Amino acid sequence: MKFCISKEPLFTSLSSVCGVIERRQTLPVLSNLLFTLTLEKLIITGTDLEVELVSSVIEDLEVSEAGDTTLPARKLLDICKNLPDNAKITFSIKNDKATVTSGKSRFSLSTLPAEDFPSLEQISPDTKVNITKGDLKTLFDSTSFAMALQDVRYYLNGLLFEVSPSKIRTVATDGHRLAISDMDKSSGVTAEHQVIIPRKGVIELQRLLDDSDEGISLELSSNHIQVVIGSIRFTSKLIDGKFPDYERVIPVIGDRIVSIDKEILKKALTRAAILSNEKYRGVRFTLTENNLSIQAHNPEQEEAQEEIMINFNQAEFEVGFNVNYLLDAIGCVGEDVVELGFADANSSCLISGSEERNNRYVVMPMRL
Amino acid sequence: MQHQIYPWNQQQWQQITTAFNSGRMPHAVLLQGAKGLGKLDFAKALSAFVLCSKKGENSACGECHTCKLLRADTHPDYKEAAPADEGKSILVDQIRDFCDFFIYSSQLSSYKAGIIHPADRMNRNAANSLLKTLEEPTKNSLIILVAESTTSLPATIKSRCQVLEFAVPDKAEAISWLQFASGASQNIDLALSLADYGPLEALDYLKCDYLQHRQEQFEMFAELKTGKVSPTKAAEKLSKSLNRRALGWMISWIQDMIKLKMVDNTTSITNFDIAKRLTDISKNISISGLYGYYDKVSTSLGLIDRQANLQLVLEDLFVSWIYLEK
Repeated sequence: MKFCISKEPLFTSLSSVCGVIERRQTLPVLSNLLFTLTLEKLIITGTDLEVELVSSVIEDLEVSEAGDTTLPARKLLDICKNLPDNAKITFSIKNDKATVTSGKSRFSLSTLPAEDFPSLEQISPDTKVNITKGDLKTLFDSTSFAMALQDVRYYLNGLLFEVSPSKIRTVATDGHRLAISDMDKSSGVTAEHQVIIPRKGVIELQRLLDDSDEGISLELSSNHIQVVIGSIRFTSKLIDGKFPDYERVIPVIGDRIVSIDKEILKKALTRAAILSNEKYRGVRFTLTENNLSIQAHNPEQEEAQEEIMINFNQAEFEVGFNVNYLLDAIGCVGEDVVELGFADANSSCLISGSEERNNRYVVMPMRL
Repeated sequence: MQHQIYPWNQQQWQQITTAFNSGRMPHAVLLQGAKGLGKLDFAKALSAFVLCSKKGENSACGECHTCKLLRADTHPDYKEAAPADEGKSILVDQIRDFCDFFIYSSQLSSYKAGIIHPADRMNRNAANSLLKTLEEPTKNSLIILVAESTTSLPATIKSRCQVLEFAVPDKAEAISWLQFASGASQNIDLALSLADYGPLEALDYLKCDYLQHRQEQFEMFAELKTGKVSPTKAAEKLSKSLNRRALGWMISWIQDMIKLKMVDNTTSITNFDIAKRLTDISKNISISGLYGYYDKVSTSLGLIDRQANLQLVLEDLFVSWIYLEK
């Protein structure tokens, strides 16, 4: 196996794939990247057995001899990074040694056999979804913060991705709060499909997305989600479980709806949060006629009180919340006015924008 | 290397592959039987079988991508949990990790397979943390537990598994297999007897110099009684070499001494090559004394597992052997 390539395309490709490789590996072959070289292109694969990233390079590539091998990921990335710009790099692999030369630099790296590398075979997708980069990013960014972290209810440690013919939806919950984001666009699918993407997969995929309108190919199979973005192919395992029936968690709101300017509410909550209990983060909401008062106090008997003018003429009541959950949710509302809906003092609060209700957040109350 | 199914395990293999082919595969299997019967090989072969993408009627192909990855130990749908060191337990973190493996969909094959061996070395917390996954793993999961003795395995674990019993083969069958496998012609009977009729363990006896070690140790054991060796020296020497197996030998000598005192018949004893000397040594010791000493050796074996000071345990054992009642 022998080829020559310029620094830029190789470095871009390496750095996008290297992200998935964990620093501490039990299996030596997982700290390597798989290089598959055909006469036209070089395919680089990295995996941690959960998420696989594949990047292909065609530019500035001169192949003398096709073949495949695995090379140490970090070392190669570091070497590549520190070579001068516009450098030409030549790889030649013989037996189990790879010689990398560029100008007057010469490196000899050890390789591992390519057939030991756990690369995915072709997956057989049963659903194809039409979506743009920007839309997928919005869906992910507005919900992923609510995913659980190492919960025993393993199906919560991920993001529910739901597609129906006219709607794409993501849902995340950790049992204390819930985030739902909807995208009312034709998805191109014929039947409903639900998958849970594991936390690690969500985070890796978020790193590959940006706000552009570029269409991407997103495919689902019973075991995988595969997204092709430009020259990078992302594949993640799914969580093999059933997501809870989240619709039942969304409270039915009567007349207790309050609209507040987002910035005012956010600032008030941020200030009140300073003096809330560091562990429980509780704040008390007291709704009286046309007034919302937010109180917080901590074990040192320090207190904060904020008052906001609102439009409210129902019977007064009190309810407590974790202020961090409220701030997370309000931060993700894309509009200037936030709508808070309450059922009663023992039910959760529904947060959304006042115009469109694409993003909805449910926060459970706290007993204070 | 492809893991083989030994001739004496064929029946179990037929049973489980038939279950698989007819869609009646249990999600958890407990392989239970004496040492040296090839249970772990069986477990690995079974994992390879369910994971293989081009499997035949009752064996993995050994050629496909999955089989190659399994051989290179990099298969993404295969997991093992075993003690970090010999004599250590399987810890709760290992089992949690093991359970986490099953919550994801499989990467290559439709199946996911995991082996816990020896399952009886899981400590209590580890065993408890396995229960939930063991009771109801995600679909297409196979959890294989391998255990020599199931007495120390909690009932809650046992009741969640389908048990496959492994029995020692026929003596004639074992001998002919051993002759073929080892190429040896001498000591086959003795090795088999010392290995409690487990053919693979017997093969170890024939291939390694265990028989030699055992002989040396027996000489030392006898010399302790006559005062030629001091107990401190003996303990020092023994604590350096294979200790667990050595205590096993001591137990079997005591057992045989007791048997020989009761019936003067060398056919039913394990160490038939040294029957005469065992009788001689135990001439001056009462049966109750031997029983007492038997208990002591067993207790010491337990102490060593719990990381007691090896030297001290052995000294204590040897001193009481010397002064065992006349």
